[in-house]
Amino acid sequence: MSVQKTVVVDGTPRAVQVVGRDDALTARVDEATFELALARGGNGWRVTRDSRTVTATVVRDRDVVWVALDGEIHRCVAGDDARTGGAGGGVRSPKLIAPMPGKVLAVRVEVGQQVAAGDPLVVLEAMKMETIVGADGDARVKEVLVAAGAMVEPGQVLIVLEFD
Amino acid sequence: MPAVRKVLIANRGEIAVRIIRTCRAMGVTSVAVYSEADTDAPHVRLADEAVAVGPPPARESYLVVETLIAAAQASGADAVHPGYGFLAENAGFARAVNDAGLTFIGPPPQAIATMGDKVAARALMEKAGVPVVPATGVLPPNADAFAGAAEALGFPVVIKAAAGGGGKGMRIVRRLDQLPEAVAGAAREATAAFGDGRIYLERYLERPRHVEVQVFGDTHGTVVHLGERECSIQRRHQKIVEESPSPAVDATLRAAMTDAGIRAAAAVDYVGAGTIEFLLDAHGRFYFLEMNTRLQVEHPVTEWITGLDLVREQILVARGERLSFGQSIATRGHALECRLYSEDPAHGFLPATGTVHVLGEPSGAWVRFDSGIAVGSTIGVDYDPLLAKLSVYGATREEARTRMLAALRETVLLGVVTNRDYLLAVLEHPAFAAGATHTEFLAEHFAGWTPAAGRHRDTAAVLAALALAGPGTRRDDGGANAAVLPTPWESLGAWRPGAGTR
Repeated sequence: MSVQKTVVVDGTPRAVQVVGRDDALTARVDEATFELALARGGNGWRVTRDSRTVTATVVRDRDVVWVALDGEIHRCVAGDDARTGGAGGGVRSPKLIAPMPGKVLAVRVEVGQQVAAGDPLVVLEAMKMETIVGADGDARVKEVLVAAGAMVEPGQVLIVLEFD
Repeated sequence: MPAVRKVLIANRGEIAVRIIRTCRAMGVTSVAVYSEADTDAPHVRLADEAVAVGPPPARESYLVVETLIAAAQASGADAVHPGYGFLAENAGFARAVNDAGLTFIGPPPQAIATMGDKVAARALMEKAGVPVVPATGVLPPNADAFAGAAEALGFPVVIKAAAGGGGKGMRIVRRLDQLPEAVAGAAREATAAFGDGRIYLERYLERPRHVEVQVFGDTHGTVVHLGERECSIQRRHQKIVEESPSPAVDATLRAAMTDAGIRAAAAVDYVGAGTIEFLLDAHGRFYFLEMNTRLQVEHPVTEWITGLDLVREQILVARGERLSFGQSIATRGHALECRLYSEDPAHGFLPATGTVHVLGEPSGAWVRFDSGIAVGSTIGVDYDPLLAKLSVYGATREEARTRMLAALRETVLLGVVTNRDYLLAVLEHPAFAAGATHTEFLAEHFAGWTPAAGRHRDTAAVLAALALAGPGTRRDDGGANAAVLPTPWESLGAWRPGAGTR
């Protein structure tokens, strides 16, 4: 077996390569190489690395994989979907997305307007709390795709910017 | 004397579950209410009976007074427990319950109304000799009105909703140029949250502690305090860690604060469970913040150190009985509570949604997990993101703290982002361990926080890569647990990553 994938673990993209059988896997994560053995155990897996065995619970929900390991919880996303579920590591995006489902209370900018980093562009409301979506950097507003009163889904593009 | 044999719980989530459990223990029949989003919720399953009250949005279900009263009457309930949030501090609801010939398990409507109006409450507290923070009355919601008042009080100032609570409609303002946005935002948020946009201005105390006094009154004129709780660990003015006793309160200060708490409660002829919130500055001066005329989210820490069941006492008081305890009640040890929220602390505490696929609940000696969720629960945006409360007891604060750390590590929820690791980091912080807590604690120590890498992040990456490489829907065990795993997700437990185990 051989698997090669980019996995965003807790917001950080990692290059993963795995070869071998369950009981003798060789893994490479970014620059680190290590041996791993997997065995079914109870409702999850027993994972042995460096002679230490811990229990893992792994569930996959579409493109998100949740891994509970020895009390740690890691949220992992397929590499291609790195933008969903929060920052992908400081990469600024020209597309401003809704970070959560909610209602657009106000759109503070118009197409063509110049904005500075941190300027409030859209005000969202979810769970009775307001959240301000701001610009990642100095930019010009290229497109405004929502209006006040609209309901938005997480990941929905609200505004498209053109960075200076 | 009111009977209180069958109680309708006008709430959902962990507090509904918690109230139903006490009803059970007292032989009182419980009636749950549920919206269309909560058909299979734990509080519905646990209650003796359940009544549907409408669509998912709370304003069309859990907040509709007529529907709730009709549900109580149709089910033959003789009393209504409001829990906290929703209609718990709505005097109109309490009155409607009473007018329908039912018993409201809470204070008299007049006490709710007086304390619910923050401006009226302040005035009353001043009269009763309870210290208050310098503030204005309600101001017109425009920047000019606020600018003058802010200069008179001195920056920093805080804008608050007259009908407020829970941090909604609240804005801290440090400079004049921040006022216009803050005034508009606070007024809007107050209107959205409370249907009442009135706001006012108050001097903002830097780095105070939030210390509150639990009081309990009965209909025979007795008002007793149950010590204090410190709830200084707050994000967006929302508490996330609470404890009792406060590390900052000694016997002398406790006597002064609890005395003020009882004066505050007596000023409104208080009956039932209530909390007087104070801000405590570094010099041991304390100021009345507000009174919460209901059972508090963090009441379990008081239950740990007193050995009482506060919901039981509420029901006894509603029946017209005397409190089962007096002021001589002794407290012991130390209790801590952590609130588990569906939110992402690494990304501005944004609410998180999803389905609870795995839930490992902590247990063991002196550990309590009050939860409103179960495997399969869908966490949406219609309600407060509080999932569960974890509380522990220890003979000392340090014993409680280390017990909490172990219990948090045992709390494993997969499927929804939670603040668990953030809570772990807070409890591990040396300043928390030293009891050096204040309301700016998180802003000072945890700005820009990201989760620690952990020992197993690389291993997790490998398991995730295998899971993502696996077949999307195929299950080759055809096993017994297939039926309990909802599509379209699958568990690695049913999937073989390599040839070696075939």
